Amino acid sequence: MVPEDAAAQERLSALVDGECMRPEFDAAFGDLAARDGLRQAWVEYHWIGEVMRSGRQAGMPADAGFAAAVMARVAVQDTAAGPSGSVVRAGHAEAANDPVLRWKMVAGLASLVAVFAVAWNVALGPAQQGAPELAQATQPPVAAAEGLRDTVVVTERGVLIRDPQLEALMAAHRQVGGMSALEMPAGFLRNATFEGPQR
Amino acid sequence: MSILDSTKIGLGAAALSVFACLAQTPAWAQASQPHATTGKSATQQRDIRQWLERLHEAARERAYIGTFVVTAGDEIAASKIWHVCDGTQQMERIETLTGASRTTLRRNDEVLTFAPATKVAVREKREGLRLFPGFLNTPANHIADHYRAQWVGSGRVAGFNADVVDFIAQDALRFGYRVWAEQQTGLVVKLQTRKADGHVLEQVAFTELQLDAPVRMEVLARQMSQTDGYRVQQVVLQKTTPEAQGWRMKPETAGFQATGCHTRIDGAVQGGPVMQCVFSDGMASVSLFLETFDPQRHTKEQASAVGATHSIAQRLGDHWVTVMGEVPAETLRLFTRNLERKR
Repeated sequence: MVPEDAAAQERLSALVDGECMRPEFDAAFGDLAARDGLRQAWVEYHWIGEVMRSGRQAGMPADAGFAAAVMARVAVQDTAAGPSGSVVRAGHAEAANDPVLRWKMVAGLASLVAVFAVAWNVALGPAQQGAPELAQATQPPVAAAEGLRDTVVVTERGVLIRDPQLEALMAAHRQVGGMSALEMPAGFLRNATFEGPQR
Repeated sequence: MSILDSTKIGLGAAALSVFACLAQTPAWAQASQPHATTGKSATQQRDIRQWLERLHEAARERAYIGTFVVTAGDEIAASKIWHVCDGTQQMERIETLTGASRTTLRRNDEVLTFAPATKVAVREKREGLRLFPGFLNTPANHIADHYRAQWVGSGRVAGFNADVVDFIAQDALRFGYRVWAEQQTGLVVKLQTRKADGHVLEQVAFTELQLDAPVRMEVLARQMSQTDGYRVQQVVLQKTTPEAQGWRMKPETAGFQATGCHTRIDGAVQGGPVMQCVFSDGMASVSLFLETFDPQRHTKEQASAVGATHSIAQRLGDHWVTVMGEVPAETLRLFTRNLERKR
């Protein structure tokens, strides 16, 4: 694993350590999207993490094509919503982790790898997962009732609902709704993770 | 989606003591836990109630650290999750990895959400979480009227082998679900909300999961008490009834039973008081919001959808009604038709 320059290597290291500041986080995303060498390093970190966690040999998990597709998609996501200079913890367990855990040092990068893997799975929908799922997962939200105006706006940043009132009600629904036998507590995790369209 | 044959897996040294919390598992739940030698046929033969029992107990009795990803429409959100149980209490920490920085801490039904950007911490009670251990007495008890379970194979999620089970809707008024339940524990590691034709509307999944992780409850409890530097807002939900607010509403619409109504006092929703009534068929939920019509704010009737969550908003006489939930739009319209102003 040979990062292409010292700055990128430093950012990659910060990602792994969970010490990446917001601007560096964004830059690291850009690096990973653009540089084959870093993507290979990213895959190798993931592999190392898997081996360290399981204590057994594992095959290399992903190819460069996979990484490139995911990172190209992630690179266009708006990551600037957080406060400038805030710390983005990429998987570092601030207080709840046992500090002697050997997998801790690669947890951050492995987390990002895993996030992108699922994002790619859903958004790009590999052929073996079936074309119908692919089509739906990438479809923008649609108007749901005849005769009523659709306020969903599709932009390059994704789908936006430009109605603060509706968003407030949606947040209220997510807070007390979701009392699903199936989704609880997964529903709570879902709602705490996802607040709706980014503004 | 790749559905592979079920194979026995080695979970690795870190996950070997995954049943550490099982000592507190109620007898009825232990009976539903598969033995290590349980055959495929027993798994396939579980009915929907047995699957639900298994999924619930798995979440309640485990400690884990994971990365959790939600995809809804074109939106992707991720968070890091720490979860721990001690048999009587559950605690969680959820830290967003995408979008605005936000940390949510939960102790049973008590939730505290920190927003570093605004230095505001919101404290609230989530009754739904309190319902969790007793879900068999909730609308979930009627789930079999609306859904049936079908084991469809096995797959691999976050490095774990999982049973893949479809919860198939019995009519067009609700969506179906595909669940990946980790084979050893039953923990839901992936969940899709799907239309009848198999199209995926929304997905949540662990992409990295460390079962039986060393999450320390006292550390989470300490973090939950540390609100220095934050302005703490308390969300208060005042219970009410549609009748008390001047409405007549059927107690059940399309198999969705009322689970409660309240007015909300937190300033998040502008204008006058808003009554929110929540309905559930045991799987999905629908919220019906009622408020006085305000021509300044309620300028357009609309319908929209984000992922699986659909909503419609329209004027009803001197009032404004907004209905939303993880159901088709047609189901939402049934709710508005079952609504009548008494006074």
